[in-house]
Amino acid sequence: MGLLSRFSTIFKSKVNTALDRAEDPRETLEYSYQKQIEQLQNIRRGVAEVVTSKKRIELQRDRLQQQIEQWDQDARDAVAAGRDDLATDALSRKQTIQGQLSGLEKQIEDLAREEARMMDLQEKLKTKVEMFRTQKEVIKAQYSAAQAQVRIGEATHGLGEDMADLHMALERAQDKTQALQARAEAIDEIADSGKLELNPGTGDSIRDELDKMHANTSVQDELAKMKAELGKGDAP
Amino acid sequence: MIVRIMADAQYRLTDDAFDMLRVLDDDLLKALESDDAAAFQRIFHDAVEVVRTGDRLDPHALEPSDLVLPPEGTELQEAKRLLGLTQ
Repeated sequence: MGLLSRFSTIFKSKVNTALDRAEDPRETLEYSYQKQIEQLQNIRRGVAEVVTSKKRIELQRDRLQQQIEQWDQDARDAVAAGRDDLATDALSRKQTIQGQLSGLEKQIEDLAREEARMMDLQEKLKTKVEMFRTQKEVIKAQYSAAQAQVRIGEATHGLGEDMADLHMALERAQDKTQALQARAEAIDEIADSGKLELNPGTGDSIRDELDKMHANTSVQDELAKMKAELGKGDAP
Repeated sequence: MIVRIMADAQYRLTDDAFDMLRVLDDDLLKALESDDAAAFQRIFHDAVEVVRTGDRLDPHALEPSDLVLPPEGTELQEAKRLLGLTQ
């Protein structure tokens, strides 16, 4: 017996156990449907929370954007006043925040993509649950007490499979939504606390030193460009 | 023969296709026993492809399946869990 055969046996025995649990399989189908509705609601709620977190992160992104503009203006003012030292500091801050901003933008993009995927999945599952509802009604109508004493019909077994399949799909979707929710909340928390890290040390002192040098060069470049624009001294 | 791919649909397979699936089924077990995740992934993908050569059943059909496949993309660790080999 292969792996899929083993899996099938386990799956089918689960279906049978579920159907046999109640005296009347109709009860199992009804209970299962109620559970599906509940799971769908959990998923919907989870996705809604991800959307809320994402909106908060977007607000944080807007704030960073404003800070960048402010530091840029400050740097220009400093250049105009002949204070290159202050301008250098302002540009250095600006570049740090720019790094944070691009990190945050990537996170927002990722979240938006995952959120769209979850919405899509949620719609598909909703359709399946709705189909289960109508099929359950068909089975319930066909089912007679006499039949129950003989055997559970093939159709009931077929629907039992759908039930178990749907249950697993809903569980997986719930898990995924929860994971996404946790991720969105974590990003939101970090962004909100202003502890977005840019270039955290790599642990390699030479690498860190080189990174610092590059950052420094880039600040000097921007300062030179700014001075040229403002007509203040040596063009690059 | 009717085969279900979980989270997807049921398919009606020809005897030839079903025989092919049997061979892959044994290979999957070998991959699991030798803990070969890459081989498992490849063979499972092939198995899903073989099933999809069949005729897709109407979603309203209420027929029991002869064989059930875990969802597409199931990996070795997940398969072990589904078989109750790990938590």
